[in-house]
This record gives sequence, structure tokens and C-alpha cells, in this order.
Amino acid sequence: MRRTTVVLLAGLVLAFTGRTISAHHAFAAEFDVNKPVTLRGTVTKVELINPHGWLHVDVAGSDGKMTNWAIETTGPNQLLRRGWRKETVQIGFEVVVQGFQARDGSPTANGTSVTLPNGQKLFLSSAGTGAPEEQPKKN
Amino acid sequence: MFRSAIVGAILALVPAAIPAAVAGQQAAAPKPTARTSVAPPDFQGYWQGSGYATVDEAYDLENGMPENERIITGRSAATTRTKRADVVVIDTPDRKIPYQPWALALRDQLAKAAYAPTKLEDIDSLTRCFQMGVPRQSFLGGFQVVQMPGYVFIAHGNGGARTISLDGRPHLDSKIKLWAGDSVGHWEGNTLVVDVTNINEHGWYDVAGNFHSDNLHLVERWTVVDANTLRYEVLNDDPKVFTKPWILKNEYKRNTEEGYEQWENSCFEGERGVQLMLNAAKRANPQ
Repeated sequence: MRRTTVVLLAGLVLAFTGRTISAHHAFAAEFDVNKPVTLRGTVTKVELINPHGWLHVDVAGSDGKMTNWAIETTGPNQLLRRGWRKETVQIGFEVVVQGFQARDGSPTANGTSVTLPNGQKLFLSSAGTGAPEEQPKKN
Repeated sequence: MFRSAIVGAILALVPAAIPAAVAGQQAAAPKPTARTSVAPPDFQGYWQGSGYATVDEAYDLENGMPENERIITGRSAATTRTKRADVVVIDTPDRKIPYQPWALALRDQLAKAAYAPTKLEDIDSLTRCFQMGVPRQSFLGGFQVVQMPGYVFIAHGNGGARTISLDGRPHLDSKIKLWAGDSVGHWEGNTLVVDVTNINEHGWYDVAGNFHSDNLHLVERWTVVDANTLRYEVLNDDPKVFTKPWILKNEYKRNTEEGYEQWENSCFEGERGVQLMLNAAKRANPQ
């Protein structure tokens, strides 16, 4: 009941906030909803480019082999409006990324969130409005 | 030629005009929109979609966003209003676009391909970093309105711009086709009525393959309801594709966020999604 109320409130707040909406393409054609991934690794590159930003993270496999993953984020404008700055995610940061792997099988994923070394969890998804009620809860 | 020069001159003036308009908007509380017989309402500033169409309808006008899309993009089901009975985006009895039978079959084919594209043409124009065209650009993302004598200019946050002429000029030659078409408007009370022709066939209504031909004729009604509310209705007439004209509706709220600016969104700067989609198709059907 409480959960329902919270969800309903979130919907109502969204209806009355004037945030930019940026969904635009078929992410499900690009990423596999059946392949959620949690990636722990080291940031090697940050690209704040349009129409989507990219985080690159070195992730060690169970065999110790390192794979560089490319993580798609929402656009840089949306990241900036959510409070992201150039120094927010830095090369060398140990991060945990959650997302969905690309359907082409490459080490590419659509990022849902990234957790920074200080525990801060940032919302990366592309179709959100950026409204506070859509942000993931902090751990 | 003369017209091109005028439009070019106006466009050249826009960057200079925007800061003044923005400064004016931020310095004062929202102005009342009461108008005199000589002054149209001032609806300059930033607007955001707030009613009727949500990101769901922007994705698929008839059916909203599929569940797997919602999961990947982290969008709560609670934010969709597609199924709500009181939300009228498509003003037909069944809330469906009145396609001719052949067009409905093509739309279904396009929709299927849009969710599992195998070639560039399967993917909507915005994803491929072209413009959205009209009327789609009025359903996705915010926009800025700038009013000048004889013109209303709309710059869309997701790319694309409109110059609406208010001098009653004739439309361009019908052989000329443009993403945003040719817009000629006039004020009826607090409603800006815009006749749009010369629209190309490349812009869909959404991601899901809802389409029109290059014979599409729009009559838009932008109604300034109050200082912070803008209502949009567009009559879509395309006898090549639809069985009858139909209306799309949306509503916007003024963006009152202090210091808000509309930033560049240069889509082609680093677009990689299209290739990932086509790679997925190749992997699914290696031949």
C-alpha cells in the first residue's frame, strides 16, 4: 500500500514538473533486457558527447582477464542537469555500473546507474526525465 | 530569393534576440497574457511537455512504451499515462490513427522492423541524427519560443527549428519538401493558427513507425491558456495515407527553472547506437 502511494506520488510529481524529456530511440533494439550486468572496475575514459555519453571501464573477469566495457549514458546535457560535472567521474575511479548488455554481444552496455568510490549512486538512464523521484535510492 | 534573404536575416538575428528575451523572462514574474486587439499574447520563453503526451506517447503514439524498453531505460510504469481514459492524444473514437488499410499494413511492418532493425531505413530519423520533422518535434523535448514582428520562431531542444511567418504569404512551391515544412500563421484571439505544408515524408510521428506521406497538411493551434500553460492541437490531413483528418493533442508548461538555458545537442557528434542495432541484427541472423 505504502509502495503504491509512493509510486503514485512520483507519477503525480512528474506530471507537474517541467523537466526535459529525452527518450528517443528503441534501446531494446540495441540492448538486451534479458542480460542485466553489474560491472565492477576502473574507469579508463569518460566521453561527454552527444547524443549519449560513454564511460569506459576495465573489468576483470573470473579468469583474471581484463575487458574494457563501454557504458552508454544519457546525453551530456541531461547529465549536467542532474548535477554531473566533468570531475564527477574521473579516470582511475573504482566504480560499480549496473545496466544491460548490447545485443551484439560486445562488451557494451546501457548504463542504469554508476556507484562512485564515495558511495554516491548516479542515475545514467537515457529515457528518464531527470526528476528527483526518478533517481535511484542511495545505498 | 527575396524570401530566403529575409529568413536568413531573421535567423541571423536570433542569437542576438534570445539573450534579451531570456533576460526579460527571468527578471520579472510571469506576465499576464491578456491581449489587446493589436498585440498578440507574449508566450516567449522555454516550454516543456506536461500533459496529454508523455515520453510514452512520444515513443509510440498509439501504444506507449513497450515493457522491455521501460526496464532498460529505468522508467517507472507509474509515469505512463498512455492507458488513462482521460488522456486524449489522438482524438479519434478508438484513439488510433485512421490509416487506410494498405497504410496500416505498412505501419505494422515498419513498427516490427523498428524494434529489430536490419537496415538504416528501419530506424527512425531522430535516432539516425536527422531531424524529427513536424509534428513530431512538438511531442518530444522542450522548446524555446521567440517572437519577433512578423514571425514566431521555435527552437527545439532535441534539434530542429521552426520559422512561422505571420504575414499571410503564400506557401512555397509544392515541389519543395522540408523536415519542418513551410509554416504560415495568424492569431485568432489567444490562439496561433499555423498552416503547414511542404513537409517531407522522412519524419515519422514516433519511434514505432507511425508515418505520413509528403502530402501531409497540418493545421496547428497553439493556444496560450495562461502565462504558464500552452495547449497544442494539430489537425493531420493526408488523403494518401489516412481515411480522414485526425487531431493530435499536447500541452506544455512554462519552464520556470531559474537560469534555465537550452543547450546544443549535436546528435551526430558521437552517435553509435545505430551501428549497435545493426550489429545485433547481424548477430541474430548471420548470413
